[in-house]
Amino acid sequence: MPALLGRCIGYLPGAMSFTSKVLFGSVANAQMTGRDYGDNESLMADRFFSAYTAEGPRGSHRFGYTPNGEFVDRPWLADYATYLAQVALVQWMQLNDITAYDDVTILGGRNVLARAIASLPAVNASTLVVTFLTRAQVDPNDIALRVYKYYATFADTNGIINQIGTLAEPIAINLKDAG
Amino acid sequence: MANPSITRVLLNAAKVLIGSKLVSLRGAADDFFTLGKSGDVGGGIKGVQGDVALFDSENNLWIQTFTLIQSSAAIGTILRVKATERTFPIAVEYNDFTFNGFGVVQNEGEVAASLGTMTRTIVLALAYQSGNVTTGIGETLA
Repeated sequence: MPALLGRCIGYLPGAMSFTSKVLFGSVANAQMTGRDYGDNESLMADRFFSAYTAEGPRGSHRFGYTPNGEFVDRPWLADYATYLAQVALVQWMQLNDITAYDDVTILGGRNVLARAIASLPAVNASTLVVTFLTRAQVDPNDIALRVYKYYATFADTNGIINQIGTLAEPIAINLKDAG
Repeated sequence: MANPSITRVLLNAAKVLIGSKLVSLRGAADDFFTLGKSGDVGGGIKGVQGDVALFDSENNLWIQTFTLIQSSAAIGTILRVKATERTFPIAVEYNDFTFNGFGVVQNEGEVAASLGTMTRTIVLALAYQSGNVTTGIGETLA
């Protein structure tokens, strides 16, 4: 798994999928040889198991699951989006002489968030919505405490194809002799 | 009969924030801004035998034209951001309408020492990144 991470993590979420990657090193010991799991591949999907298989037969990584059943790029995307939003918001607050608790500044923060999230290739930027509350709508205690926690970001991701065809529903290839 | 659609538009809700600090532009004249896509996004081509092909395109280049009071703070804000950042982030908020992207100054407009010309027109070219631009302005009340 560390080698797979090394192969993939240098890209932005949405620019790289964890499936169908092969690890061929220059030395024999670094080369992965995929096994043919045959019908047992369906068990791997059922049990959220990632492995290098002989699919192809190219010894590539399949499924891209984490042990809890999530696809591995999802926490990657979520963590990186959180990181980008944090960096962008802190950078903006550093630039500001003052980040005033007013509606114009709240709109500004909304734009900072939108730009940070939209910069990810995984995100379909045109679907991005950042909701917010105006100063008049927030809890007065939060104004006293100098906390603003009323942004919410919604966006569709473009999605990833991890496998094409399944054992149960293989791709139909119909050929016939001309006659 | 369907209930009437009731909406409202508060011109003061139109906000434009520019630069890395996202400074709000102040000093709009009677018309604050117009914002639209650069050029037509679709059309058609005709043939001499009566054939027609329709086409449309994706266009994320927008043109924003400001009409500002000659002495407004917005002029300084825009020209300072141009001088320091060249290409700058921009947010346009008009209730339901939202535009997030990046911009450059396309035309700085001109200073006029004239009683008749108390406004200055500045034009920006904007790249759309995100936001709800497929809606009208204002708010839906009912």
